[in-house]
Amino acid sequence: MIEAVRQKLLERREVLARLQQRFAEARIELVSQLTGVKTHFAVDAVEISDYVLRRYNEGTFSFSLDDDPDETQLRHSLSLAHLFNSPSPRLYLLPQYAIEVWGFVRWQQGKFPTPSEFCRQALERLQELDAEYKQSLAAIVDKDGALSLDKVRDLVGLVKSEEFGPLCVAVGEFVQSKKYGETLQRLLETGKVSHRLELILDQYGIPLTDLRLPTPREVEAVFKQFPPKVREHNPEQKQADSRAILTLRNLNHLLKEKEENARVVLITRDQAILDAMNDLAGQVWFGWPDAPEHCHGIETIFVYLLMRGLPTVVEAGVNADGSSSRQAVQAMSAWLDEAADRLENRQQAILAVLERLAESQTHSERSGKTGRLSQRLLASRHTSPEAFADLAQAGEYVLAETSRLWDEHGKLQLSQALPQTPWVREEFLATAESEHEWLRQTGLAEFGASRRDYDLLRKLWEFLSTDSYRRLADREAASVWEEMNNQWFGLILHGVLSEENIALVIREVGQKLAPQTFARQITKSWNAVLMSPVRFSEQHFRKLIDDLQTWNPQQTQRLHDISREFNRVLAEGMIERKAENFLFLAYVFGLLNLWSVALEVAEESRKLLSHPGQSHFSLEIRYFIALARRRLAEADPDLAQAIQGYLLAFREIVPVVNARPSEARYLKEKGSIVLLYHEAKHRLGGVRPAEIEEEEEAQLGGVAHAKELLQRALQLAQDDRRLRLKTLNRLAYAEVWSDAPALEVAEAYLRRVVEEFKAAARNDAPDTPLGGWPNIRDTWVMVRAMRARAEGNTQALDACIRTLKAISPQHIVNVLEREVAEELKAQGRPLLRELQEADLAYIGELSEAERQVLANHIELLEHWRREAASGLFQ
Amino acid sequence: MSTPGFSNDPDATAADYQNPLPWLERLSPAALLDWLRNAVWTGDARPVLTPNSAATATHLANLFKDASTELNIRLRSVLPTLVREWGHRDPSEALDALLVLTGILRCAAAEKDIGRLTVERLNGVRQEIPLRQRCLSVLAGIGGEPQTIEIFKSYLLKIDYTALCYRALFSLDRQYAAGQFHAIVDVYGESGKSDNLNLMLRALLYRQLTPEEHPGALGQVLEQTPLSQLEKVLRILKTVGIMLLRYEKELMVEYLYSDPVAGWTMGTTATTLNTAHWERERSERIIQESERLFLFSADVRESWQRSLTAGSTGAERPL
Repeated sequence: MIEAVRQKLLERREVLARLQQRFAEARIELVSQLTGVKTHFAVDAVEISDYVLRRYNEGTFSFSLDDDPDETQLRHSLSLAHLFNSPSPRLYLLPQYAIEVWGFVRWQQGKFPTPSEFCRQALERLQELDAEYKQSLAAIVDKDGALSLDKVRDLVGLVKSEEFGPLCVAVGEFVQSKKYGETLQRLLETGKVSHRLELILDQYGIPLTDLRLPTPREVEAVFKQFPPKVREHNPEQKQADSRAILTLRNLNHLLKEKEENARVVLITRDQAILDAMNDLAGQVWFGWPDAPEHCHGIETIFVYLLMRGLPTVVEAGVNADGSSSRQAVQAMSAWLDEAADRLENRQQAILAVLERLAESQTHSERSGKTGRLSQRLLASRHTSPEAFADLAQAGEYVLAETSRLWDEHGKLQLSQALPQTPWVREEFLATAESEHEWLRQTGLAEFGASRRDYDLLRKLWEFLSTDSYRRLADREAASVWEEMNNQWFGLILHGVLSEENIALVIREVGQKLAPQTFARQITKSWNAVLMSPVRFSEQHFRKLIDDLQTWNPQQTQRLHDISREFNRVLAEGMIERKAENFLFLAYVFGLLNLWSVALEVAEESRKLLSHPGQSHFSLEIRYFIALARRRLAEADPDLAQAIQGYLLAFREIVPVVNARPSEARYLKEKGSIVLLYHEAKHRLGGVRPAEIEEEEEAQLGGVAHAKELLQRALQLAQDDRRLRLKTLNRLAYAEVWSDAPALEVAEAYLRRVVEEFKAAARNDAPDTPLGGWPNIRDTWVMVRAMRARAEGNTQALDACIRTLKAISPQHIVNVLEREVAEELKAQGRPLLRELQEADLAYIGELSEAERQVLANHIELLEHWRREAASGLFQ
Repeated sequence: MSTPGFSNDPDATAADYQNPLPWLERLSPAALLDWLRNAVWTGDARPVLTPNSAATATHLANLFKDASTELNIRLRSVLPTLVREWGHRDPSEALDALLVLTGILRCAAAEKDIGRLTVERLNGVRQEIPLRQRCLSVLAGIGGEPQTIEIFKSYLLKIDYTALCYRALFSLDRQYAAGQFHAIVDVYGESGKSDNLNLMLRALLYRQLTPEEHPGALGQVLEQTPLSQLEKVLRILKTVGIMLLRYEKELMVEYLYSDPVAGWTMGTTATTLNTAHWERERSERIIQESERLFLFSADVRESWQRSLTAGSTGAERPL
């Protein structure tokens, strides 16, 4: 099963690659429109012959993900109808293709009789008919169609007889060939297709004689670019294509030399030409690195046709010269991005997952051992080897669904586009009409096709133009588009995550990491504000993460970029598994407050390290793992488990600090872990859990050691205000758990926190949120509560409990923040927008960890309240 | 002595003057020889009356059309003797008349004598070139001997005789002629007589050959033309309305203009050349040149447009 799905994906990969190319080509055209570059289109001779011969089923038309001949034929025919019937632009024939059309016509001539030959043949056949039939036919003429039942029966007999066939074939051939001829004549006589390249060059004052034709040597070199199979199959054709490519190059070079803002683009269904252009672009001798931008597949025309139906494009309309408004171009561009994203990246990722599954399975079959991935899958979500089949089935389902949804979306989009392109509709109706007429003439209509079919078709087309259909189709297209998203995400995560974490991601994130949703979520997240940055090595990650201010509205775009990068890395991470990519994913999951997911992905990152050792990057991974473990422990309501978590975090952070004792983030993390361990232990009654060895606890050190670490971190965090704030807060909080709590010291740290806020407020662009820090507020309350506890002041403790319970994003302005606000007022500056909005709604959800900490503290204070009430401290 | 202005034969009667054929039929071979010698050398053909001495040969030839087979046989036997008799001091008109008669009567027996005459006895004579042209022309009609072919070959590249020799060789040794096409193009070019080449080619292609023969003939020419000369040859062919089109594996002959009298029509002929055994470069150069002609020759492109749209001939045909 896996192999079958994998095979299907591999086949589809080629189609996708082509489709992706088409999207890229459409994008290039959009950019050209925006930058005012004039594009002239040339067509391959094969497009002309396909169109005039109504030949739609040869070769490939890469739009559908699965091969459906009927759909392919329809799309190809629509593309050609659009290409050759839209009012603009004119299509040119390069000399090679003009000659090919010439030759094609000559070749066709050899196949069809002249009118006189046709008449002679038809008459001869008529003469050979039985006398009875002849009489019946004569009766039609004599009686003007009003025949006796017997005569009609005779004629039906003729139609059914073997004699009718040759008569029909002759009529059919003639009608068909006449139609072909008329189509070509129309194209040439109306000037829709022209062989006169000077019509392009004249516009720029360039004489045609300046155009250089390719040399035989060049032709040979281009010819060699075609794969041997293609060359051998039809060498003459490929030589003509080679010459056409070179002429196209020379034509474009000529326009460039004359510094004209114009280009000539060739449209072809021949993938071999498109591939050759790509290959040639990288060759110095060819001298045309932009070659691929000058050759479009016929599917690109279909993509363009579809985009005509986008609501914005419909509203904005299309200019007389075929160009679109800026707004329409932007809408088309966005659709292309979405389409590319939905198809290519996800398919690739699914393929990679399945490939790895297959490899893993093969490995286990060969070695008799279960592969790492298989082990995890078996352990985490499946109980038997049949699980592989389940996953493959899921993959197959997703594939089929993606394909179906893409086709559905295409059809809906197309139905939207057709009313905007009446020439395509007319072309189709005219074809249907002439087909019907032909059937009527030949009598074949008796066998099925009728006038009614044609009328139904016309009604259908008319319906597509109605507003009610448009509204419905708009909604449907959007809904189908969205549904496509829902299929892939779950499967793709199978390559990385355990079942629980997959469920968690789907529950918390939904089916995709949409830029806007991600930005909204992160901007309001305290978890994100409190999260220390990870130092990435790769520049593109550093640009996204270094100095990230998640709360800052001016960095919304950066958040969008992070989510896009996340999607890209997630997809590519399945194909190219790099440690740093996985750490980036882990970091984003951390930002999203999905710490169990972050931890699992970070562990995967560590496994991917080629040189674990003590490198800077390996330290960052361990640091992040320690952070993730600490955050998970903080959120764990089970104190025994939390202690285990702190211990694991400690084991990670120790070698990190040892390797880099002067890194403030590492020191602060170690200090926090130690402190939180002791808090948890204290709350467990101050007894060392049985699972922890004494020696190990000794390594942790006491709260004093934690304070020492935090103080060192504070000294080193000179250039990082948020780290200083967090460290000061921890230091203040450490006093709460000290063996000999010094409340004045704690308050002094909190004063320094206020100073930091004030200093930040002095900047036009504060480097930290100026209020609402729930953890600082929590510390502030806890310090007050300690004093109240020491004084046995139950009222004060009650007030502290109330405050803690009230800590929420909606209740934010406390004493500290008020001071900051006053500081701003004193400077004569208006309050910052964030503070003016009293509830600071821009910072929203408390994370699970923060909520848990608050719950723990409330519980603790209630315990103290009971102690105070019992007079224990008095 | 004969009576001047009446008859060179005293036996001729008035009836013989009215119809000289019976009189001629009665002559013995020796008498026929004498009569013909006299007629040709002096212009006195009595009892046959000719309008003037210059037209004697044509007049006699017309007369002999109605002669009996026996007389024709006798005439063919005496003509070589008379040709042999002609010497460079004899009037050139006499030889011209003899050659005309030889040609019209298709006197193949004179082939060797005319051949020898062409090569050996015309040098330096008055009217050498027209006489030799006449000899070659007659040989083209009656000849077929290897020596004759060699004569054509030896005079082929002499501009005065090129047209005659080339057309003759095209019949007698087409392979050789095809191989020399590019050479005669040069000869015409160097002599500044390109118009004559055009005329010769039109005569060759549209009178001597039928359209059905064109592909074979053109195929041989193009196959044997050195690659370096190919473009030049193709351009010459275009001047006489012929272009070659490549479509898939076939190289087709395309007429750029119509000439219903000659039996060739633009846009209707789809004859193809057999190029399967050609080296690729040859085909490529032909294609390249046709592209060049297409791109830069307005008349070629006009023909293209006309032949594909409703032109005078294309309209009645579908594709």
